[in-house]
Amino acid sequence: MALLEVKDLHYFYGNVHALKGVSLRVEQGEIVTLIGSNGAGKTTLLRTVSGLNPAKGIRGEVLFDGKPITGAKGHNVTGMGMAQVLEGRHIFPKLTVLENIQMGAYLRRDKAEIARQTEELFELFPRLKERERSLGGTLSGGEQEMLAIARAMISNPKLLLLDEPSMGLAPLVIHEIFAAIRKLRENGTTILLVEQNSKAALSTADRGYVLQTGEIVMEDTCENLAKDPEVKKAYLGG
Amino acid sequence: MLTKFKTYTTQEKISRCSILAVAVVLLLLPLFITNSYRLYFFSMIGVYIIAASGLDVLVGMSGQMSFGHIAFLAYGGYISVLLSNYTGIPVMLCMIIAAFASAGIGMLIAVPCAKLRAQFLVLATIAFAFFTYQLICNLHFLNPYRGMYTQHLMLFGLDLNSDYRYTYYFSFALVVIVLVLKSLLSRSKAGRAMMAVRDNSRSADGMGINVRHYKVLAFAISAFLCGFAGAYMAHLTGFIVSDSFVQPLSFNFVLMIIFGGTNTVFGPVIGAFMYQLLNELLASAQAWRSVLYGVIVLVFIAFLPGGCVAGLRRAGRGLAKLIDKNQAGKETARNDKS
Repeated sequence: MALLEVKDLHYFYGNVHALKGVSLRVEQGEIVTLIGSNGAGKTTLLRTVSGLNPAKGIRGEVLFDGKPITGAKGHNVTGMGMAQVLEGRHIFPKLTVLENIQMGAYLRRDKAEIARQTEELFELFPRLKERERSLGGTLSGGEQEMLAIARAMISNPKLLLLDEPSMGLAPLVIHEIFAAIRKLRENGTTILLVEQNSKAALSTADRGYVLQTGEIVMEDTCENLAKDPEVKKAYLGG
Repeated sequence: MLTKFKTYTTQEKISRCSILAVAVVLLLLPLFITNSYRLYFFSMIGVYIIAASGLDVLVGMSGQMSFGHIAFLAYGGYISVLLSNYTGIPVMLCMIIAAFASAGIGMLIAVPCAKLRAQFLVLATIAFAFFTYQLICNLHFLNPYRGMYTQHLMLFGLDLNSDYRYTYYFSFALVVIVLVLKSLLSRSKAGRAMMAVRDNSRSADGMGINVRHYKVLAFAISAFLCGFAGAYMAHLTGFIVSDSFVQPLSFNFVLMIIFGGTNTVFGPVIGAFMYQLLNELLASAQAWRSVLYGVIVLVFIAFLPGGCVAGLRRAGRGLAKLIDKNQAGKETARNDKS
């Protein structure tokens, strides 16, 4: 049984048909990436799955851990073990780094375990440890992305949804973040990664889907996708 | 790392000491002030602090704005006065019941309002205040134009209204309770959740926080405190009349939290004092008073957006640094000698 299964999913923003029957699956323990150009529907797909988009535009079915979650509210989906890092970070600017991470553990009650995992995350992102007491809004873009990932991971998710972690970051920082993503997978986290930076995404993930104007046009292992002439031409710059 | 820790404690020491000093001065104040009007004036500041703290839960903590909070003072005041006048319930209990009733009304208002964004929410709260004022004016049994006399504040058989020294200390005690509760709230899970909603409601939703639930809760808490302030005000002044609850008075509380600083425990305290003092000082300016207020608000927004508390914090940090440097200097001098 797949951890996440999306079956023939449609999404409508009013009259705009943004997703046109998308089906995909994410198995336990793998990193699956979704690549595609601007406006292909990548973010729409993530937000529809995680319950951040209004339910009235949804047609189709989303199964998480075998249970239907189609149209469920965002805060309820989080409770079921799905954590999301939104495009553009969206950290809490007026809370400190530590408080931001603690907010991620909002639904948990086991304080000692939270503290232990916070230390683990600080090991993964030493830069955050240095700025533990700083306000979230004062961090650099890369640090904010790390904070957003740490904040999502502290909820102990079965599935982590990452939306454009590389957005607006310097190549060196992107490298650091993707290294952290690989480490998270080694620790057993399942990840659905949405990326415009197809090169970084394909070199990190196990399998990939290519989304084009609301439809999945290709599905394969990342190795094969990276070799595919059409993908090369359209997304990897020749 | 160690020096960082040190400055932190020095700064903490400074803030603790100054708070304590101010509290002691305020506690001893009635020994020096014998003018009963002055003491009444200070007791009234207690009402303002409670109401401004209430508004701050909504504005500072949960990030929603209201220009109609005077309405909650009206509900609290009238409910408490009616209860104490027509039933045998003790006044203190009436005030608490009135505060809960006001919180209930706040919740009712919040359910539709929590969906509104910034300017629309502001308009809705203004409309709510106008509605409340008109409602009072049309309920003739409240004698809205001439006003009603209210029961005295009785605490364990002591008539607090008989001497304004009593009300002064009562105000003081109430303010301390409210401030302690507010600081506990800001450190609690619920308080943090409200701040997360304020900072970014979409991420808050992603953390598993029910955004609407906390917006409504913030409204209820702030209506509770404002309702209590209204009830206290009615019994303190001994009189309740509809004109104390016209919508523009809501702006006063907004002024207080801007002066003092939003989302702080002591912001509303400083703000209420400043407001009341300015009111007295500018009393002779009459029509020019509102113009001056406008200028002062602009100055605050431009130069001290965090309010007085932010300014004091900055001063405290500077002082702490100075002290630490001094001490470090002495220590090295001592080391050199030995």
